[in-house]
Amino acid sequence: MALPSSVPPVPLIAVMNSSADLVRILQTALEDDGFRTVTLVSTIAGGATGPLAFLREHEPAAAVYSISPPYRESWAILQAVRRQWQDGRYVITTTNLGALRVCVGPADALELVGKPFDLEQITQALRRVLGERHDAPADTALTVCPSG
Amino acid sequence: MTSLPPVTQQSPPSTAISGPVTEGHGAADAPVWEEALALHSAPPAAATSQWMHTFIAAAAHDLKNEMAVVRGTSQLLERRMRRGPPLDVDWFLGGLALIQCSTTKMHTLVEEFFDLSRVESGQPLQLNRQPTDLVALARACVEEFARTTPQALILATTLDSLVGDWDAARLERVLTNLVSNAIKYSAAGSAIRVEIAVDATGRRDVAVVRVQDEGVGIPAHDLPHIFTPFYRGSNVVDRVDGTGIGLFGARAIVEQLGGTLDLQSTEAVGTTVTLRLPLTA
Repeated sequence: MALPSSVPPVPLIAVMNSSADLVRILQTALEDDGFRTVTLVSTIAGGATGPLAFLREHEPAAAVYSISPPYRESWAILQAVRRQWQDGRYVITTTNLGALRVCVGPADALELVGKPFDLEQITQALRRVLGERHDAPADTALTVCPSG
Repeated sequence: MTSLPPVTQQSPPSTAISGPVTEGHGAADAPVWEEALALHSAPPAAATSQWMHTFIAAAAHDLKNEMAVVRGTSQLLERRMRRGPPLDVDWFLGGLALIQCSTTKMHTLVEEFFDLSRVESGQPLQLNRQPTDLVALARACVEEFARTTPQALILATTLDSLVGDWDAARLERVLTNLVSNAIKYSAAGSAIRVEIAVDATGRRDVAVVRVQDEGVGIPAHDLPHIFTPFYRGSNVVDRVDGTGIGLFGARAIVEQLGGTLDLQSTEAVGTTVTLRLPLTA
């Protein structure tokens, strides 16, 4: 009897960013690197509803998610998404890395990447989050974030 | 990048710049920068500080985002080149167009900073008037954006050229601002129409440009303030990136060229911005 193939499935990555150009660039780069992708050009309109529905529909292995101005609201939406999609693994991109580091608590297993990033940074960050379990609940992150 | 795969578009906040026509001031009237200074100085210092904080954050975000597009695209192109043949020429040209489009956006933003600085210090803009073909400028602007945006951009004119005594670089920036606003606040697949005509009914021939979109619109209560620096529509301020200086800067340029920049908009229907410029000073 033949054994089932041991080839692991290709991870599905959700690319979520307010810039359609960056979504396309990341999608192409990740697919070149062997990932499958689903994409969403996201805004903070409607809060966490849109991103959550998108993640629940596709159930990706991880998400490359952008935090953009207004950073406080954008961070709050991510926190809401994480509370409801608790098994999610995230690579967070942002144009304000310093502020985001303040938001993220030391126990929080988020990968943070500042823009402008190298594509390799995203791939490496994804491989790290896919190789680790997220045991820390989302609520361990600080909820206070600088505005802007 | 033309051959990159399509992406899912989350429904944008539906609103456009709408409402009654806002009359601009002629060059002989109170200069727009004095009005802007008066409006800008009206709020308490704490509010102004918050505006500046928001503006700087938005400007830094816009610049870094475009840098990310340039770096990401150039790295994609490099990867494909290192991979070797067969090279997809159209894909490469799409990538190069995207880089050029991003650098144009960054250049426009930086020039807006300079103009804002001049206006805020009470100085007029130093115009460089020269024979300028408005149709050629508009065509180049539309073609550049059309290569990288999911909206349907249409240039509608019967004119082969329309030459006036204008500042080419600043007029290009005005057109770029109007078209990029239309793109930013419109859903993928919607139409954006740029019309150019001549109004020969007055003492002087006047170029008329209309940029019409089917976007999200501006709430009526925001319309009186939409040309104020740092002011953004209440329906987009927390939803769509922006600095709030683009329209202000565009109007300052147009009025110093002796023209007017007016805006009509109906929320959730669309916006029409009308630029009127005399062909001669």
